[in-house]
Amino acid sequence: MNKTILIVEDDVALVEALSISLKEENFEVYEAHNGEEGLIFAEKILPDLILCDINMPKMDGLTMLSKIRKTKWGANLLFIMLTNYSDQEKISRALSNSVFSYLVKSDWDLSQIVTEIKKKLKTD
Amino acid sequence: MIESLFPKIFSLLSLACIIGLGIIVVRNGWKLINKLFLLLTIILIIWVFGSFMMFSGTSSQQIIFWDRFVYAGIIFWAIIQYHFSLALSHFNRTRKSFLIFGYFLFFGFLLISQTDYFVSGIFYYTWGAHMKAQTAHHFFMAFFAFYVILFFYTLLKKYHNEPDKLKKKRILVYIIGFSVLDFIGGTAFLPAYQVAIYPIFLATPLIFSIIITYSIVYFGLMNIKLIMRRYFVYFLSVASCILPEGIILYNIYLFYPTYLIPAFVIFYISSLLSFNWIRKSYYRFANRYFFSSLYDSNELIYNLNKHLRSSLDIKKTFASVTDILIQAFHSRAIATVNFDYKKEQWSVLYNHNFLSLSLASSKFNHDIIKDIFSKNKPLLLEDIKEFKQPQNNSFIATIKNLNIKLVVPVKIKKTQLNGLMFFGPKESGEIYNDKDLKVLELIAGEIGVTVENALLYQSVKKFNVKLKNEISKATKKLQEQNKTLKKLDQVKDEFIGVVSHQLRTPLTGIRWFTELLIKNKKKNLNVDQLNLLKHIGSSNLSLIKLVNDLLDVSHIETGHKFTIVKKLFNINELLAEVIKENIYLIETKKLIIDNEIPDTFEIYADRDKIKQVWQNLITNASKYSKENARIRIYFKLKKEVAVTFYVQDDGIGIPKKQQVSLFTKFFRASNAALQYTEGTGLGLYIAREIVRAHDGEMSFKSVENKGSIFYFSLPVMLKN
Repeated sequence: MNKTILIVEDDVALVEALSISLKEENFEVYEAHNGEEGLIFAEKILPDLILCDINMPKMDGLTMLSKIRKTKWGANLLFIMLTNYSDQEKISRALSNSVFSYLVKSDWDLSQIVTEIKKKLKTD
Repeated sequence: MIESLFPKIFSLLSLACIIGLGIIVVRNGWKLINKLFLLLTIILIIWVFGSFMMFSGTSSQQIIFWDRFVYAGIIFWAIIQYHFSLALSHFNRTRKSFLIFGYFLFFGFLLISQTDYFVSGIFYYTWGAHMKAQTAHHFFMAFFAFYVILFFYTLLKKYHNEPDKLKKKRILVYIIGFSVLDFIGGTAFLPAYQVAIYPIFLATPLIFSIIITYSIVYFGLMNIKLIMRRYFVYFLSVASCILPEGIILYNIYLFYPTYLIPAFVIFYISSLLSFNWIRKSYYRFANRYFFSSLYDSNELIYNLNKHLRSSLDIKKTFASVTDILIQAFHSRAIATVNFDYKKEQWSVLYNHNFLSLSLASSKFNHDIIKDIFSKNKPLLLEDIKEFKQPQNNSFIATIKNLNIKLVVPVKIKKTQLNGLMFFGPKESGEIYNDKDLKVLELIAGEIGVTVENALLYQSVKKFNVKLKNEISKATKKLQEQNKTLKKLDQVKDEFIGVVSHQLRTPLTGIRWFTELLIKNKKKNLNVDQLNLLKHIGSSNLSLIKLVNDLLDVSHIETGHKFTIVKKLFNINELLAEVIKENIYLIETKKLIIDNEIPDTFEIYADRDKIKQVWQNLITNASKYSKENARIRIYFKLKKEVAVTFYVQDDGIGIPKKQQVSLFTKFFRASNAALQYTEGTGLGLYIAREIVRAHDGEMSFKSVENKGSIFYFSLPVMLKN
């Protein structure tokens, strides 16, 4: 069975790029465009991994993460934060509360991201 | 009868003295202590007068009458004496109860004293007679002695505790005077117990009055010296008027009796006319040579000095100095003014009791002020009157109108001030004596220095206040500017954040879609198109790096530290990534990378940040090396607390003059800029800040055209 990945990102273009390259690798990909949507989708789908932006309308990525972490199904869910360079401080604060990986979007190629996701899912 | 002559004379003399003393004391003021002293003198008068009558008396009836008369007074001696000592020191509950009890007790004795239970029967002896003591008399004697002891105890205690030397002396005088009265005068009780004794006791009031009078003159006891002086002067004046005239008139009467009446008229008129002059001369004479002042001049000077030194507040200083001088001289008014030579009038610095002093300052010719200052000593009204030039009349008239009796010039150096102290008449009506003038002459200099200091202090204070105001104004301005700057700074931060975010997202989009295109999944792009896409990709990467660098710099500039997220990572894995990113340059230049760091070497730091540092160093080394050159990467451990990494190249090096500025942001060495036009000059600056954020340091050594070694240290931290 294919692994399920939920992308939560408000920039449609980035979602599409990520979606294309993940589908190429035979992942089942779902898309959400803000934290609220992401939260609802995540509960329905129960994905294997969530790829999530930080700065989003309605609910930001870190809030969504902390909400998910409080649920039974989401306590150990794999999480990769897509960050911006300027989000460092937020991340370092959030890191002490919850387990997740993060990567600075603009510094990574799609292929590198896919490799990272595969690595995560294998070790899981 | 001859034997009893002396006691009689003693009695009369004592009587005269004690009456005089009593009157003088009461004239000095109706105060408790004076009233008590008067009561004591009345008792003495009763005693001496009664004794005198007793010694003169012949019949037993007379003796009995006068003896009881004497007892009616003397019974209260001990208790009033005790009351006197309390008035001299202080009252408290115990003392008061002793006192009230005593008054009741001795009043009881007064009633009994008129009966035979107290005294009855007469004891005749060589020098006189006395009634014999009975039972009640024994009790009286016991209580009498008790209160006498209490009296001396109180006085001695007061003497012991009194800090004021002058007051101490006065108390000593009382102790001596009352000892004479109580211990020698006390022998007057002996005949009551049929002990025949020469009535020396009758002289004791005389001795007492001599002692008290002496101390009045020398220690200002009871402050009644002034009154004494006035009587003395009147007595001498009258005597000097009458005596010579009497002698002359007597001679005229003897030799030219016919001229007696006209001579008498002439002398009568002349003595009337000369009396005032004679009196004044005696007054001056008495003031200058016979009587010293009421105060202890050393003590006064000491006190004045103390106050002059204790304050820099001109008003306070004058107030306390004036207070002290008034206490000493009993002047009705004292003031200090400053004479302005230009305006030719004075301004009041401090005024105590002079009426309309400031109004009185009209235009004065300043010659007289100069004269006063040139004399440089206190001047009495009489001395000032001697400046007889007509232009001085207005000043002299003003001084007279204000009732100023003494003018003391106070020289104040270094300032424009010309102080004049004005003294009004003394309350006693006395003129200021030599001692007063000497004290004032001494103290005027001190006052001058103090005023000078106070004025200097005031000007410094004024300057300070001005300075404070200026500073607070400037600070306010700075604070406002600071606020504006902070706001601007915040705006700048927000701007950079927004820009970086807004730039980065589309840049990421370009990066990812270019990547997707280059993959060419559908195989519909030719090689040329793919090459163009690769160029788009690398340009985009440069842009991303530039945005990152700018963001870093603005972060550092706004005082933010790098957020360091540490983890343990393998340094060689990281180096491999960095080399891979520079592989194009390394391969084209055929560079040899000599990595001496062991494969297992791990450090605990912020991986992404340290990668940035390595990227910078490796990229620079690759860029500025010649072809086929070698880049050496190695490390040194320092006592296991720090590790230093080195990147050594044989490249173009850095010109010596420019080495100082190498870590300045936007700086690029001239030879480097020639070789590579791109580059922002931010890399090394950011790299060093990253190392510093790790509590490390970064530096380099370089020789132009020979190569450079860049190195940075990091503290070795174990994971835990």
